[in-house]
Amino acid sequence: MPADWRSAYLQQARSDHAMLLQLMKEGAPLCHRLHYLQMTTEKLAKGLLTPPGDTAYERTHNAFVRFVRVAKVRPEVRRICGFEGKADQFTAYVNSLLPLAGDIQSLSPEGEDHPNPEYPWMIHGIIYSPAEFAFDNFQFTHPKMTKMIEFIANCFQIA
Amino acid sequence: MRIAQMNDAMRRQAHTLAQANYEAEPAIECIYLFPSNEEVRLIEIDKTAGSHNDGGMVMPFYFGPDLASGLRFPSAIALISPEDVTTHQPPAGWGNWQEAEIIDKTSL
Repeated sequence: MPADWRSAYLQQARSDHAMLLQLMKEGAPLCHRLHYLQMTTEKLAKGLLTPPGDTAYERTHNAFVRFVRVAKVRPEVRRICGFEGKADQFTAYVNSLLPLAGDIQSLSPEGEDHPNPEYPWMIHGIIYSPAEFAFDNFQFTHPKMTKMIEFIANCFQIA
Repeated sequence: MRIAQMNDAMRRQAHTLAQANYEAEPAIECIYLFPSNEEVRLIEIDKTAGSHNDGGMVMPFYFGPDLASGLRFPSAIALISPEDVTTHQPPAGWGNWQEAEIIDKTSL
């Protein structure tokens, strides 16, 4: 059993991450890969927002982008991503991840109807299903997605 | 607790982290160090950070020690906008803004 809320969030984030990697390997439908990508990043960030001990987590809606910004100034994240002694390059690297981090964060189904990988939504009277939506911003073969997946995996090493 | 009561080694780590953070993110304008002997507690004012917007209290990220990176002690850090200083309080148990030490870029 997890010792506290932080451990619980990070444990579940790791489980979601393992499922993401499995779905990527299998070439599962894009909506499912994106669903697990969004959940992984949300729980990773929320886990790191939770102090060790018994304090319950407080809700926030923009945890992942805030985490990526903070990661930019963390020496251990820089080291684990392979940029030790290369602060300027690491800054540029993380800055290049921020737009996609925002897009991934926006995949959460919370709020007004909008494209998301989990629930159908309606816009201008048209109903959309995640299973049939193109999600053009989120191609897993794109280099920026490859970088993001690698960054997330690295972050789990220090979480 | 006051800054003067902080463990020297922890305070040195705080200053080392602050210097590294100023170098890593030029948009950081100043850094608040809150007194603690449990963890290094930093709130960093980043003019490019979006509004914190979390019910009026700053929510930091928590990291464990990482000896490979020279970090002996756990740390907690938040990046907030300059406006958030007037609309948000430090995390519970950290004290108020006046109790923090401001680590200015020029002091490093």
